[in-house]
Amino acid sequence: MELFYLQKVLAGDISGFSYFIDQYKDMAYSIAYRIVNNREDAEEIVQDSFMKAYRALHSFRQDSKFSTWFYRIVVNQSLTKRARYKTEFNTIDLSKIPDVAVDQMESAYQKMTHDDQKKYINLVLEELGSEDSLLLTLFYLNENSIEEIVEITSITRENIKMKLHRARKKMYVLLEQKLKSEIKNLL
Amino acid sequence: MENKDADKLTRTILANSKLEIKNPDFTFNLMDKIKAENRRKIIIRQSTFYLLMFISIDAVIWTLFKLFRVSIADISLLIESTSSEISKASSGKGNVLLLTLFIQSIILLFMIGRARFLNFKSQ
Repeated sequence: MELFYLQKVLAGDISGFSYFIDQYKDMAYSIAYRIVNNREDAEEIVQDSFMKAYRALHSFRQDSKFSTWFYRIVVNQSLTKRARYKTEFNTIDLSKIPDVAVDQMESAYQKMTHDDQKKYINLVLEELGSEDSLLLTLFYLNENSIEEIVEITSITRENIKMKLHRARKKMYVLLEQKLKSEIKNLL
Repeated sequence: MENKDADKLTRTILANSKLEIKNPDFTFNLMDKIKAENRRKIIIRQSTFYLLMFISIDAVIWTLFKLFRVSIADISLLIESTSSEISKASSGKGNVLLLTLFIQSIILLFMIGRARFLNFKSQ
């Protein structure tokens, strides 16, 4: 399907490009937002990335998926944009924090409504820092393989594995803190 | 914490973190931009083609005149139009070339203007 539209666009029928926009705009937006933490900027980045992808489409060699190639453009555009603002994120010293029990976390999380879950997880990802939240989004939400993440982010395979493990742990810690404060507020 | 459980839980938690572009016209607006950019590209390609064509025509005319030793000043006097006034006004050789260059420049300026306008629209 993707190849059909790709060939269509390369043959000069640009209407075929709307398939790629519809297919990848939301994930591209999630990726951009995780890096810049601003909705307007993220939307602008997605737009610029699609323009850039369209201009460079003839250079896409098809040895990787279109999505992988495109998300790399999104990441680069987002990093360029973020470099102008230099946002700082929370840093958590993992050595001082005990392991979080998966069972406790799961039951506490599932007691929340869908909207609350969405609100809390997005808050946590915002606090987590761009690299960690980006890796978690790519691996767990978009289900990219480690190899694809290497291609998208230019981080080495070993580093990705290590960072994913840490990011996951950090996410649990932050989520647990958020849930505790929420319970306290309710009481 | 077991890796398998943690993976499963992380997937469940992050399933709710997907963000969406709220703007319903996003695809339409973006396609509009891409179409404008495409038109601009076509016009630039056409302008370059015409420019090269004009230069080639000028070169051929110039070579022919040189080859047959035609007096350009004599030919320019035969032209009866507003533009011939321009060629009359300028003295010496190359009046015909000046005239063609003048017309070609107007066409080129018009095309550059179109390309710039479309470029502005696509931004």
